[in-house]
Amino acid sequence: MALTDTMTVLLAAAITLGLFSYLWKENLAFRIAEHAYVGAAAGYGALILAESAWRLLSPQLAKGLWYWYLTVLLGLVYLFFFSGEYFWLYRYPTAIVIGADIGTFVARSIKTQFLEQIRATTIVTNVNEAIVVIGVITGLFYFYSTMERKGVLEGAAKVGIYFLMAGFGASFGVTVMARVSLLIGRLRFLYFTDPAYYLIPVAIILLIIGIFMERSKKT
Amino acid sequence: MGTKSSRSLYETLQNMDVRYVYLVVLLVVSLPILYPLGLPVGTISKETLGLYNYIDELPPRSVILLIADQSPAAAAECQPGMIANMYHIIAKGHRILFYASRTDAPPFIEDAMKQVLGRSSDHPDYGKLYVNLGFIPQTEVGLAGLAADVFFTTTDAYGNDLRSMEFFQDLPNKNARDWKLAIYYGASALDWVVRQVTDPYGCPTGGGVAAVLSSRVYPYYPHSVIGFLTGLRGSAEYEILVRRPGEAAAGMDAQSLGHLAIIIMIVLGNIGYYASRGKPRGGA
Amino acid sequence: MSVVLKRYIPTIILAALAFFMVGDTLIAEPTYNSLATSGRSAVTIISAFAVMLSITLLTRIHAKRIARKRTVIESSVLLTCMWVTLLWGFFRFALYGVQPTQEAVVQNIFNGIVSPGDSTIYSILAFFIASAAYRAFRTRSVEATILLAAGILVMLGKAPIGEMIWTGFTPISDWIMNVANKAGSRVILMSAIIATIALYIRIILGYERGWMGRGD
Repeated sequence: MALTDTMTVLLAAAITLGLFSYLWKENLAFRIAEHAYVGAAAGYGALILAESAWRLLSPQLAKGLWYWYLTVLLGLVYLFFFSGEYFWLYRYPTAIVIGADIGTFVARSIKTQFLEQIRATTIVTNVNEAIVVIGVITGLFYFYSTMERKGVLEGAAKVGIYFLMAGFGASFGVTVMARVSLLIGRLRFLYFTDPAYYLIPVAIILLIIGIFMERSKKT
Repeated sequence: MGTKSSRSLYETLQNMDVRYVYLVVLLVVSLPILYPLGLPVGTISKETLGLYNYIDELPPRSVILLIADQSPAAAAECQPGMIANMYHIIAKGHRILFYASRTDAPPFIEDAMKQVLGRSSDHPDYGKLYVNLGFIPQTEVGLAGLAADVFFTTTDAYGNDLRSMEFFQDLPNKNARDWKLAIYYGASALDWVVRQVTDPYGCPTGGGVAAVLSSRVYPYYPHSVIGFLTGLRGSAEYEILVRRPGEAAAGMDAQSLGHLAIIIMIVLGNIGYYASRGKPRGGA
Repeated sequence: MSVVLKRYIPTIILAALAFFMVGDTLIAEPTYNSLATSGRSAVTIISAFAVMLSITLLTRIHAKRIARKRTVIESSVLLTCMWVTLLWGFFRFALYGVQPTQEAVVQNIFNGIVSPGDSTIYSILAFFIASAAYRAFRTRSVEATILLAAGILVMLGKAPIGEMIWTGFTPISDWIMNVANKAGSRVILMSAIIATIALYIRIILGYERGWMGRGD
């Protein structure tokens, strides 16, 4: 294995163990690992964004379309965020980006997340789909607050909350599954990647030293 | 007397240092990793089969869009599924269009290409069967642009001109209508893919989603999302289907014991809670 | 005049662009659609510049901390990692045309710091979920009992060992996901989209000014 690959794996193991040390208690190793991650992630993200922006811009400039320089100018206006007097200029590129986002989202979302959902709910070919219909209607009654919940409305809302709770329980179950999977991934890296596993005994020794130092401070 | 000591045992368990719980979880998840139990993956879910059968039945040389939205955290669950999907897609002779919708996803496209194809941009079929568009900013706006015009980025991730590539020559519409499937890998949301690709252009969506997202995919299944892999379990199922057991299948033993440990903790916690309340406090 | 420049014109620009993008989905006119695609391309370029704010803010905050001799080591580590990654990758791209995803040092930083950092921070949640499961999840009410029961059944259904204990866990878990969860998620989805569209209409009409930040 090349030296740079070895150093990268050792660095990854050190960051992993440093972040795991938070489970014992918050400490300097954890803070260093956390800050290293935040800094590297911010730098890496900025780099990828800059490169992708250039990749979108350069073909237009190569065609001689000078007005595309306006996008750079508008992007630089973001820096007025740090100005006291001219802060309001920052609202211009923000308005452009948010306006485009809203337009792109709203146009399609009414169909996808509303009309299509209603259409899919109305297709009933078996008992389970009928139960879904009951669950959707009673669930919507739970959020209905224009009328006082009495009688049938109250009963429907109660059934609705039970469906919602079952849904939240299912979300909880799959969230547990997701987090355990991530832990498995990290442990497999530590146990099976050469030379990451050499740092495990080092981490255990440091932990034991830390425990003894903490106990001796208390006494 | 027996009541006092059993009450204090429950209360002791209730109030014990949480780090013992962490240690139990660490041991329960580590042991099957180091000493595999060899448990079978189990029944293949119909969501996974939906995705597998759809890819299997596509006409030859179909264009499939792979959207890499996985962060390094989600990659632990999604990457094995993406690799297994790629093995299947390549074996069926389809074409793959890659693109990343977040800044930390491009390395996973590179990693998948190198693992499955052996190389990335220098592969002999790159530009003919596989194209990597790299990262496109602005998630939904970026995908909307790509879906409307496949030459949205003008160049691929390596700076090569898209219009000169054989991949795109026979595409009649040069937009999402030419795609037969869009597979999303990630943990944030699948809605925007359905919004921008499936409903307007009729290209169905598939998923290699992290488990945490899977419960939010069901409202779209099966009318818009034809099938999806649920986390590490789904990736393991797909690895079994394509007969290439890998990282996902290897993690299933630890997944099983991890789930059991948490279930036992929930049950024990509730037993302790009910046993330690409702008893008279103070002297008997 | 200042209110016009500071508030009304940005709101008008936001609304105009929003309607322009909505129009692209409704109008199948090649020139209009082509203009919209170019517009999207321009917006993605402009949005990429927003990252300058996060870099500048992080630099300012942590440089101040170093100047005040608070968290000197941590802040130095952060600034070093950030600027080494940024400057090295930027100059290699600008001077030699090497993409960041192909640049060895940048990729080593990604594989050595970013990837393990992100994965580990989320994997720690597995421990926290376990401790919350033990200390906080109580079946105090019917709703809580249904939530926990559904969660436990789904966990058993999704883990291979569940099927080995009893083959019934898998179909029960599938039923919960495909029926109960689908109904619940659909309700949340439909309610959320109505709320989101209401919020966006308020933004377009200028009633919501949170996006404008501080000041008048």
